[in-house]
Amino acid sequence: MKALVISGGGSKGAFAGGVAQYLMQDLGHEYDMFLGTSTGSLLIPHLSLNKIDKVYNLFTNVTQRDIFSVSPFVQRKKGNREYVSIDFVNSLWQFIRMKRTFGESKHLKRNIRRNFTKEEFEEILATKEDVVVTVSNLSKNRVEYKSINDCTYEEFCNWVWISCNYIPFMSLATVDGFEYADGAFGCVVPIREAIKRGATEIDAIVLEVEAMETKKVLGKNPFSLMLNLYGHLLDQVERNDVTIGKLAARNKNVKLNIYYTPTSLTENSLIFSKRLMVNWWRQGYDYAKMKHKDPLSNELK
Amino acid sequence: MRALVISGGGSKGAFAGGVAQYLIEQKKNEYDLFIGTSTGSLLVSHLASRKVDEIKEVYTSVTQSSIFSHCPFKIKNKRGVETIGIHHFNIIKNFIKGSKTFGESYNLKKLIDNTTSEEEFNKLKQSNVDVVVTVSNLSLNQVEYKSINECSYEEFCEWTWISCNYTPFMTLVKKNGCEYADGGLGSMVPIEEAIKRGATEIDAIVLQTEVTQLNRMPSINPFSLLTNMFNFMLDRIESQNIRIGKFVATNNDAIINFYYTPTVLTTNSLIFNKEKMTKWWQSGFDFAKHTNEKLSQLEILE
Repeated sequence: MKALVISGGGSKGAFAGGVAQYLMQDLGHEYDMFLGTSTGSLLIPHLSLNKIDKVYNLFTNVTQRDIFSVSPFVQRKKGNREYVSIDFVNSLWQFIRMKRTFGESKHLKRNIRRNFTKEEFEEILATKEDVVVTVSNLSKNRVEYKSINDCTYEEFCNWVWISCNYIPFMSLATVDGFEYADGAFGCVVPIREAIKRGATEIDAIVLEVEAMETKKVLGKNPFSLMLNLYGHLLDQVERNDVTIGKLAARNKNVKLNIYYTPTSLTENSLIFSKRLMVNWWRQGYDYAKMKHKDPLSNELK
Repeated sequence: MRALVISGGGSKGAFAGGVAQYLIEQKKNEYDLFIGTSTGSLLVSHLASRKVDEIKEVYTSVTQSSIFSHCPFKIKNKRGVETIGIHHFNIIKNFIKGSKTFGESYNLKKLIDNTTSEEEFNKLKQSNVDVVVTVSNLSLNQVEYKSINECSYEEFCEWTWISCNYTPFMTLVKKNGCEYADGGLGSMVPIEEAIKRGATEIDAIVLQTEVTQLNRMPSINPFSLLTNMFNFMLDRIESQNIRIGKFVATNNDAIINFYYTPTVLTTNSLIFNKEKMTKWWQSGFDFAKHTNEKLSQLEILE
């Protein structure tokens, strides 16, 4: 059984889209199983139906307003350099409303439902083995994998949305009395889950560079330090996921191809800019093509 | 080659101390390699030089003020349950001083300097026992392992201290142009590293119950949500470390004996309470005594 695994990574998802396009259209790979976390879980329902053009349009036309109902960021321009800062008014507004997060992502939920119809849902159920999204159950302290086979249409849309909710900037969702958040907090790259579900050949797209090339500069005050630590922990989780995936693959004789991003694409993956995302999609496509011609080893180090 | 691995876990380290005391003094295990993260790294150098009573003394008499020079918490006693609150005044004071963290832990540094003598250190360095502590390099986004063989006395004390610095509540240290913090932020249970360094039989003390036994309470404000998320990720890293350890052990034919805590000791491991820690030390000792060694469970897919 062949599986496609896509990691989390916000707007960098466009790169994953490009890689997937090459794998599916040009190489003609047909997958039975699709697993995704965060941005990956937005891609996989469409990819599983081979609707690559549709998802290209969705991803490259997304704006800040399509995601956030209350955006915690403002985009500013200085010369031709774009940068991002915190929207204090919105954050304060959230605080006054006694919300625990700095922003809300209700618009994303609406858009998921709008762009993924019930007919498409039925079609996946009928034609594909499995589509799985990853969510973090904060109350129970564990990662949960939600398969399309166990959900109704409404539930599935909800899980896809939850899988993208990067706390503290997006909404915190409560289902059955448990608090849920972005799957990336517990498992960024669900390779091992794919193996557990019976995959024997896996293509994994990891939206992170394989090795850091620059030194990170840490924030000056406790709050920005906290966010840096956050990022650090996420990277560690991601690295461990990849290691576990590789080890599990070796143990079970699973063929595993990993596609990393060649350079670090962005510092803030919660900013969605059309220009950049079109660019990344193309980069992903070219990278997959290049990598296919010159297969790098995925050996364990 | 035999190794002892101790995970991070703040005040729960007392339990690990008890387990280690039993393994070293009663079972007479001879270890060639000691690896610790966070609270574990405070223990390992003393365990390696067999100063068990001395470290027990330290662990069972430590207070909040022997750790923090600038404590970001206030401990409240509500109906017999100790809860932690934020010490707003101290945090604001630290903020005004331009510090990057909510609290500072310089007193812990002093404590480490006072309890590890240079003499002991040199003796340990000359012996063929290796002692390793884990630190996180935040600037390069990686975990680093510092061995006693590569450090001077001052450096090693500093690395031990850094390995315990649970940021953002404790000091963030800048060294060689990089910023370092608690090893637990990258590798909570460094079993993989022990195997990489050649260990074939490992006793791993994990300061966490084997299966999660409690539900996390919903957070009440943005701040507690952030700390909740933080702990969630730390727990994930811990279980990933154990899983990787098991995988690598199967691949390399190594044996791991796990010692998990049998019950949830505390939900806030940043409170250092003398009575509790004495009790935990004892219960760790008893636990190791009574438990039948659970041999490495190598069925990896649970």
